[in-house]
Amino acid sequence: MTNYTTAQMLAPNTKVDKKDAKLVLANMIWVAFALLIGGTAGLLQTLVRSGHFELPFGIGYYQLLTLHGVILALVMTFFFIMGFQIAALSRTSGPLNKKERTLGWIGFWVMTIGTLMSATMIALNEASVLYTFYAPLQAHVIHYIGLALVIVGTWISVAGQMMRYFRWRRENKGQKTPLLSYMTAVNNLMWYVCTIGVASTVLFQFVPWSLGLVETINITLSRTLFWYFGHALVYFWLLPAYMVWYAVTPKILGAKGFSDNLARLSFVLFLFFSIPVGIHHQLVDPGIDAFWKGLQVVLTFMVIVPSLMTAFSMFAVFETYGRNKGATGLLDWFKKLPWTDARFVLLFIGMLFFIPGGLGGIINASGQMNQLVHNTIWIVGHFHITVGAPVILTYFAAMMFLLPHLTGRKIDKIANRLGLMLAYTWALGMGIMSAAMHFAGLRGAPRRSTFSEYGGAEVAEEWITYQVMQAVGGSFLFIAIIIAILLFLKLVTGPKVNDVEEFPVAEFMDQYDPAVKWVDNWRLLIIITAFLVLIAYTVPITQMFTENIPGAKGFKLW
Amino acid sequence: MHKYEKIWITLGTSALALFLIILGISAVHGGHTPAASGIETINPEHVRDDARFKEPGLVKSKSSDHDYDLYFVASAFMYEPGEVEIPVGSTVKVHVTSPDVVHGFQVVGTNINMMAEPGLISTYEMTFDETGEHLILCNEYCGVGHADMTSKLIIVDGGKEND
Amino acid sequence: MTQEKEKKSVEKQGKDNHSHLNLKGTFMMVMALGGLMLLSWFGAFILFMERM
Repeated sequence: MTNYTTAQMLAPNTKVDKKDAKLVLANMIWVAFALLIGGTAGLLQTLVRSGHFELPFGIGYYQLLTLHGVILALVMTFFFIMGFQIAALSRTSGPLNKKERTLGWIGFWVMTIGTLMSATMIALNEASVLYTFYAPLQAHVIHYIGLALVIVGTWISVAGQMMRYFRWRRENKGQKTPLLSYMTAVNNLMWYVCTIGVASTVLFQFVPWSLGLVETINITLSRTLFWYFGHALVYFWLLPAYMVWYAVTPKILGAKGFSDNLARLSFVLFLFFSIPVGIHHQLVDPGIDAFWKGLQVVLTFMVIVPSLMTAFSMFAVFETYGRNKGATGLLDWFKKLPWTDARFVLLFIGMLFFIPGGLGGIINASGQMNQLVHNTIWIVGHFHITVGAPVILTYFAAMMFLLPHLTGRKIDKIANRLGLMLAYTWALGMGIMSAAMHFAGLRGAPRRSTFSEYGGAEVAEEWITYQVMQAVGGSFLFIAIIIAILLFLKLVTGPKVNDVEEFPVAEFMDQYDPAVKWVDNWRLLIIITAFLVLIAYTVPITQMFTENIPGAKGFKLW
Repeated sequence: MHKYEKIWITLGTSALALFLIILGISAVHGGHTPAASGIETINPEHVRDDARFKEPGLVKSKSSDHDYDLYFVASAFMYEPGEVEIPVGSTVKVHVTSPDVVHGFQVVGTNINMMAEPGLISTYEMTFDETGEHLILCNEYCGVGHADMTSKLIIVDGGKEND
Repeated sequence: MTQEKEKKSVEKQGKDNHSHLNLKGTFMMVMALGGLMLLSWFGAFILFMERM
């Protein structure tokens, strides 16, 4: 199996290998399916919270909320990321070999089995513990094993991906690796390091405890291990979107990327600073000293820097493109952007959402200021304009070219129109819903709660108005999801063409500059990552063992 | 790197540094460290055997840094006490724990917003300068009755010390 | 062949191949972004202090 040269990588007619394409498509089927299920659950939740709707058939609100979180935050994203990364490797490094592809398939099936196990337990109301599964709420052991298998499945698939990357690197010693492949490898390394946390807590804490082998569980430890994983998880979602922004978007415009080397540098910064920051999700948790909370707040602020770099790069690409098209003046280049190309509009709207998303994130992470918003519905608004808009809209943009590319078709006018409708409907729905969530949250409305009048408290009445708005936004989002499903169907049906849709891969302005060596020195990357993790976590985790915090028995309170 | 990019990264990073410095000063000098920080343990199965949580509520503090200690037990699906009156102007240290699962403890309209976990006591100190009512609610999912968990802080005029 | 040429011309420019770009608009946009960042953060900080 050959390795691609730079020229092959940049050639617009280079395709994802046919056998790899099947594997990618298998993953994408799950994405569409999970989106539909999870989106329906989301719609019903907003309707319940409006106070004008009750769930039929004895379905519980929290059962639905668990389904929504697990199927969208874990299942949909994981399958997309595996599929997209395999496609990116096959497209930029060259086809996977048999072993690498087989690992991809094994991973796919292990993830599928895990998903079905967890889904069954959620359906049977044996696992209404939300996607964070905080102990000592105790779900059925099969739920935990299912979730663990989903993670293990990603490990196997990622192993195949890493082998592909390192094969290219080994056989092209000293050369700059293909950017998309490099980014995939960085995201995967981060994934391996962070999933150790969730895997350990599930394997060594939740499974023995839910089987009854041990009576109690160390809550503080389980929460800390979860969030050691949980924040890197959000970057695991985000980085594939950044891959598209950096390395695909310029080509969609027909322009060059801003800087290959800076893109690599920003990914390395994400690797370093997305893991030792999980305690910013536990800023108001007992059991952790203020100093260690503070330290992780500082580290969290470091992870903002690569996003500042990304913002500049994106604007720079857009401006340079517009000026090449003849734009003059300060902001005329905006008008020159391809506003009729659904791929561009989808990801551009995503980028716009990331502005308030990022700004809100800075507030959330600001130490004691977290008390303003912690566990209020502001947080829900926040992650819906980060993962629920920039990330997912970019995934949609990627699926727009991937699905026809993989199945030998082309985006036609109707598909493009559906894509534009999807972008605008999503923006409208998410705009209304997330704004209402942010404002209600600042006024104190809690997250993760079914409709309640809170004993007739005056302030709770105010929240209900916002909740009605959330239902309006949620309804538009549901319509958008239906459009998305129609779009996917349109993209994989219809006549096959010879002139297959391109998987755009951008050339960079500094494409032929010498590579920065240290960003591809994996031993160094691992050492720095591990070092930062040790600094941030050694003392707090040690204290969770030495301070004799009493363990907790399990409860099933739903 | 483009000249403008250098300026942007420098200014952006400086703004972040400024935020951190303000947070640091507010934490160290203003005493506003994040709520519930620190490790104070309690056996979750014997919460009610502990003198402090036997009859949770407002008690005059023995310490000189605050006027009252306010003890709360958050359990599925209620808070005890269900209502507390606090004299306006007093500094109160709130102590919360849970005998069962993880709960939230959010006093709406104030900065009291922290987790209550079995095995640990969460504390936060604050001064109530204005009269009025504050809803207390659970903002961490704890089971089917989660959204029914409420209590009330009533900040009152005058010297009433207990409810 | 053309790629070779391009490669050489780019190499000549070396690492400064961005400095010739007119990025005034980009600069304005990121400055606006920075302004929003300051505004939103201080807004939240003031609210936090009010509730203290």
